[in-house]
Amino acid sequence: MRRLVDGDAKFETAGETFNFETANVLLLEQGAPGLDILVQIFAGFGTRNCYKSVTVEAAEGLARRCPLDLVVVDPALHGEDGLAFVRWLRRSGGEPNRTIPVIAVSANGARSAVSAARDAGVSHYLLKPIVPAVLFSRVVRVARETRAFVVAQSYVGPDRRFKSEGPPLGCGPRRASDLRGPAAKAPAPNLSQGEIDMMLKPQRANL
Amino acid sequence: MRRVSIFHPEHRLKALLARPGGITAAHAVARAHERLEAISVRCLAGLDDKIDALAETFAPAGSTPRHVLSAEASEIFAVAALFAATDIARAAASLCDLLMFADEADAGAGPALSAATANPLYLGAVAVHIDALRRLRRPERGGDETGREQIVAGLVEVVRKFVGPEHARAEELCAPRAAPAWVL
Repeated sequence: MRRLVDGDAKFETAGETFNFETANVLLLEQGAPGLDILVQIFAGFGTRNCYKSVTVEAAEGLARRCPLDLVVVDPALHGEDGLAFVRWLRRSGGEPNRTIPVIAVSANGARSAVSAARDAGVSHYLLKPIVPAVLFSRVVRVARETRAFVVAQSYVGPDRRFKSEGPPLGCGPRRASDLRGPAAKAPAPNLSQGEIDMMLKPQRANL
Repeated sequence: MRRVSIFHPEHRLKALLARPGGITAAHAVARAHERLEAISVRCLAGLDDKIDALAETFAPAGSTPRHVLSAEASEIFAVAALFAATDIARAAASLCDLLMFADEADAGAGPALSAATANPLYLGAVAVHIDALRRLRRPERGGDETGREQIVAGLVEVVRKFVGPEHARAEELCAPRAAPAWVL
């Protein structure tokens, strides 16, 4: 279960402003009041263009017509899998929509649910109830994210291995296992690419 | 040969957010809270319909797909928790726990349930949750604060019997989550 801790989203600097006015946000929720809540939160942030959808089919239609900047999706739609839309978007959504940030919002914090969302290509997974401050910090974070985008036969979406990069820049450590201090200086210069290649190159042994 | 392409997309959202004329994070969050406050009565009133819909969806024979029940229960939880209807939120979270761990058990990723989901005990536990939600929503049936607290505690206990004490997360789900310090 993800718990927000002090130091989360510390990338913020005092007095910095954010302009959500012209951002195109697609909200895919199971209906009122979930959709109402998201619309009001984004309207509070200043977003004018919120596209609302309650079915995967309608969301696909919207994504075909409009260049989007952000998608917020609830994986648990009535009788449908919201993640089906994410998979479609990542594979067939066309440019530039294919690579936009997607935030999943759900009350289901089970490992299997989070894994399924990650493997469908969502950028972040937020647990309900949606707290405006938390949603805001996640939106800003995904907008600024420099994570690689992977297109492979079995997966299309943001690189799922971003955990290896440690906490986001500017954030303090969040787990007991996170390194607390600065890394020590390397005892020797980095290997050159040639040296690395030599280490990985299979060699025939002469016996 | 399999081909994998890796690149770093530039998000248009990043450029849009940086445009002049925006508002501070604290201002944006405060405005969002104001707007939520304006719809709180409507959303809470809608809980009755949601609970009725959940009760109608639930078939005691166990034929209702679990994901349908999960969707209904999580919607009730999301609204109740956001607008501080704490006991309803805890009851809904308890139901979410029950359904969630049945999913986990099916996926082989979680603790084995002590009963199959078609087991009358499991179905009874779901039915008890739905009935409790109805009672909590109607003060004349839910009783006073102590009575309501007992109802919720009973639900959490029911779930613990199925999923084990270490896996019941209703309390954690409903614990208030701190906002980032920079917003406050």
